[in-house]
Amino acid sequence: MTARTTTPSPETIDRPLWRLLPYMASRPVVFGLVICSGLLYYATTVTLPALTAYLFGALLTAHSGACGALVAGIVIAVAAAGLAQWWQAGIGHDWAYRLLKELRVRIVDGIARATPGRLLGRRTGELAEIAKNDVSATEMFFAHTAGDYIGATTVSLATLVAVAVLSPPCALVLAVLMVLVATVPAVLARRAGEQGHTVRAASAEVASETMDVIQGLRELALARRGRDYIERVLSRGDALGAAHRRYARRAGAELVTTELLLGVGLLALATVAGIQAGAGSLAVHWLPVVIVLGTSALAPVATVSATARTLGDVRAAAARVLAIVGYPAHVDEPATPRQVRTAVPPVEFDNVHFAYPGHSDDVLRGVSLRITPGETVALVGRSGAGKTTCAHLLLRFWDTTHGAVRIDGVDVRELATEDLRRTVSVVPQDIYLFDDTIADNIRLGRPDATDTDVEQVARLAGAHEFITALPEDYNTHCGERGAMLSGGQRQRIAIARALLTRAPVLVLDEAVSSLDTDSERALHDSLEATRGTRTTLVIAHRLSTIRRADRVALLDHGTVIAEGTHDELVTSSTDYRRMLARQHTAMPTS
Amino acid sequence: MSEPGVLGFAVRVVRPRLVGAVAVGIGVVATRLIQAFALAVLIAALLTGRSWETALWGLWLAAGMVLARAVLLWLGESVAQAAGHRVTADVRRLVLEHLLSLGPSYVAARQSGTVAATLVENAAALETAVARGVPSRLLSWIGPLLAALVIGIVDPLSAVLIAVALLIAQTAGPLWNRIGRKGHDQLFADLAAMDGGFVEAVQGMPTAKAFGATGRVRARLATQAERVRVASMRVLNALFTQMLATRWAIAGAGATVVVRAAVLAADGRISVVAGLAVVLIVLVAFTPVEEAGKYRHASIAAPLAAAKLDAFLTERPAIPEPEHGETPMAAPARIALENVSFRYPGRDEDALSDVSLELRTGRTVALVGPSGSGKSTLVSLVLWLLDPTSGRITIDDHDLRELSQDQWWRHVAVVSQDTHLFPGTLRENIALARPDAPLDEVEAAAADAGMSADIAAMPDGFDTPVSERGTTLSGGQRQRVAIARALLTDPAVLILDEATAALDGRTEQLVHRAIARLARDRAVLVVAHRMATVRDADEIVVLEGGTVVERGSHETLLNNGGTYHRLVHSGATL
Repeated sequence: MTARTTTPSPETIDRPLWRLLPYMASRPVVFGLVICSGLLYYATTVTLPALTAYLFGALLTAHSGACGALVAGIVIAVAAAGLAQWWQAGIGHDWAYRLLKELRVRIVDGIARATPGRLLGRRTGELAEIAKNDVSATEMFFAHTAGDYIGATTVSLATLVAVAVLSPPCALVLAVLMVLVATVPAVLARRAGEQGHTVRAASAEVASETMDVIQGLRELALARRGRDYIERVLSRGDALGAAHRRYARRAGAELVTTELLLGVGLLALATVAGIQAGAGSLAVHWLPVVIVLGTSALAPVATVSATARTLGDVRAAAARVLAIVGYPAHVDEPATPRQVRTAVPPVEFDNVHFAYPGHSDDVLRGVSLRITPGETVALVGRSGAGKTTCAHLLLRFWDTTHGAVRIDGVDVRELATEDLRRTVSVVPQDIYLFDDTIADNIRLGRPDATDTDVEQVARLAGAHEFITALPEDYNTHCGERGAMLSGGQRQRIAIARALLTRAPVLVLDEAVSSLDTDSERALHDSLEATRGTRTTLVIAHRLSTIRRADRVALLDHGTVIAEGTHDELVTSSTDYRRMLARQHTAMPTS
Repeated sequence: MSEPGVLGFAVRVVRPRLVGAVAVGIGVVATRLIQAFALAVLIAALLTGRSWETALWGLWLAAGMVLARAVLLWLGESVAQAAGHRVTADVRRLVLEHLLSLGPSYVAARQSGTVAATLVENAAALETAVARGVPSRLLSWIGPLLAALVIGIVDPLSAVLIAVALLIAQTAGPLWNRIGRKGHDQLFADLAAMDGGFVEAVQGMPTAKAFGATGRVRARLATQAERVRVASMRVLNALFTQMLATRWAIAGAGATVVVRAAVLAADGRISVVAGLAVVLIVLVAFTPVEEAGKYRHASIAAPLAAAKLDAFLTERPAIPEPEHGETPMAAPARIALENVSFRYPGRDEDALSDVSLELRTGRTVALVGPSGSGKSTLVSLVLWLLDPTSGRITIDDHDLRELSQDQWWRHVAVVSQDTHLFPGTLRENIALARPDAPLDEVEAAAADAGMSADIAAMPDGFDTPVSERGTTLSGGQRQRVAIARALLTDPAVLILDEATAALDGRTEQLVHRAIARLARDRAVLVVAHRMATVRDADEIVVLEGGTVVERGSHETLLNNGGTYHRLVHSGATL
């Protein structure tokens, strides 16, 4: 999808962790406190061992001047060490979880902008995976990176200065070690990113294949292929395991390298300090302090390097999250919106061309169609002719590539989205019921509608009867994708939902395909009764539906090739006759 | 560790590796202790003004320990990785195979997202807890106790102090676990709700957008995300408080031991080397406890995940496998439902009551009736995805229950209104039930289903990849894949469940011709709303409210002037 809009993909997100920083900066006071807590925590990790080391050296070399004060200092340091860790963990995580919430909401916004269409070319299972696990993965960055990095760096540098005061050669050794411990993960960071990406992709793959097995279990069972597909999921698991192992091998190598550096560093420091003490340029009672300070100053750097070790994963996760968060809208809000003023407005497709982004083929090649106020026009044609695309353009899910769709003479591009939604309502081909009560599902477009309103439209849609037969009638929960309801029942709820909005323009996209003939007739009768109060575009396959329309437009290869009443077209259009003839020979009417 | 259930199973499959990990861990502790002693020798020489050279061996010993530890850590990491992968793979297999044995009726009664979470996430939750948590928990006791033992040689009181601190640090954890478990349950529930919210946001967004209700989806998710935050923080705050207790115990004991060692050494009651060794050992004594702390979170989550998995694993299939083995079964010629009733568990009314029906080779029975009349339930019964509550189904006069489901499914194919396409090529999807079918047969089936033109227009023909829920194919195309699937299976019994609902006229014509040809030598059950698709049936069975209200030929039923007559005349048919 790169033809018209450059949509971000995880691969093109540059320096993803850097781009998370604005989120952190959005609460500067808390950010400041998080940094303070990190500083305090790391300060205690150095002070406590240094105090005890000094006490030890002083006692042994009989420099026991302020012993009581030292012990008091140690007691305070022990108390502070616990409290500082407690504070840092608490404030850091609280902050991180607030940012996660923010990101999650923004992901929903991104999904909203990208709908309809395949988001980032991904399957829905994978998308949910991003929203869940990848956002959680960024917690690592928010809670353990920012505060930690600043605290660890500052305290390590301060310690380095302290060591330098005591013994410049020791400080030099320490400085070299710090650089080494800090740079090891940085060197491997690039590979970490790639591997993190592979691991996440493999884990998303497992989740999505498992979902396929679950949702398609009936087909698999009947085809006796369940075992094969389970093996397939498990082999995905193997691929995931392999990716994990590669990732772990590198992380393991880093762990070992860091451990080696810390160990060798300690020995080097001890050696240099020993030589210095032997030469008399370092007071002997300071020797334990220098060694302890050195090791304590390296520990925070090692912690930072350990956090950095997992950043590869986080970076890949952040890139995917940001790709959704930064997804551009298909359409823009008008700068100076206009309004539909007529109660029952006309609808006009004026030489509409359309190609889906990233596709060179036009789906619509100059569709012109006018629906006068109160009129019902049936759009017919074979599947793939562009019927649903017309509906989507009227709903302004997409913008035309050329030409315009107008309601009441106003280009839909000039209507505020809110106005457009109030004006146009739809019964879509794919019906989705939210995990909510039936009443709330019907109320979707008008949350403030009264119970009476809801019941009234349910009656119109022929849904009232079966709803009241349900255990909790209108308060019955629909469950995932309305699993407890039949296709026809779901369709009737969708129809009620569309009618409730009282939008003067109604799009019925194969809205009766799952209805039995009884229900279809009942629905048409009730729509007939309110005819003239709305302009209707019907996408239809059934002759019964087509016949009831005022006019019929035959769509083929992206253009309207015939237009008129059913009777007119039967006499004037060979294409229309051919279409009907095909259907009649296939299915004789009663 | 011989816990029952899936957690015990996970531990058992990797037991040798876990033992190895503990052994490696003890080795790491040993290197730390020896290194501390070696360094003590070196520093003591300086502090007491002895020659640096006399203590150089300490430096070399310490260096040796640094190297040895690096090797051991690397080894430990690969053992843990291998164990982790093995746990995930084995648990996943256990769970998926159980899902298969439970069958489609299990899934049909549940939200697929919840089932997926059980299978994927709960299985993964065990990995860290078992592969890393179990050995590190053991080491968190062994390590400090070893250190205390060594310190005890010099000063028993210090050893006791270390042991007490260890006890406090270790019991704070389990104590907190008991308090924190409830919070964890809540967190898991809130996380599951949020996951569901995301799935809904993705799938329901087109609808929400069309109705200007994206704000509601957003607000709902924001509420769910906020609940997750609050629950997470409640759990974490409890954890942090426990960390505080641990930290104080360890730091307090450490500082006391160090001061005491210094005083003892200054008084000459212990040697300077011994005093220094104690100090340096105390610095590393509790490292294994910190290591274990990293996996505590996973160890808490694991029993919860395991409980969910155990609950799933104790579910029994709705239709038990027959005792005897698989005898090959000839293509059935007569399938009869004899006074069959069915009631969904937990409902007060029968979905189907006292239905009798006969399917025969070469005959087509059409099932008509308003939505909710029990047509889908009847199809599930014929497919043997459900067992009748009363009455029975016979196949050539044998009770269906004498067969296995696999045997029966070899002879039935269904084209339903909800077709699932599996990721893979178009060919793989058509050949679902016969993966070894030669290409020409797949092509013939596709052609008979009216797909030739569509496939010719696809970039890679039969090798074109199709995806989840068939989103790259139109509704009509998806349905024709299902028809091609059924055609390729060449079943004795064919069930057409509103098979033509999404086809346009031209395609429907093609499909109908193919189906008519095919139906001749099969027992066919058609479920359709359109009268035209059923009028040529040999028998039409009219269902209403779960019972058969009328049956007979099209003409007879029309003349009866009953429900069928009403259905036919209610709208023009197409």
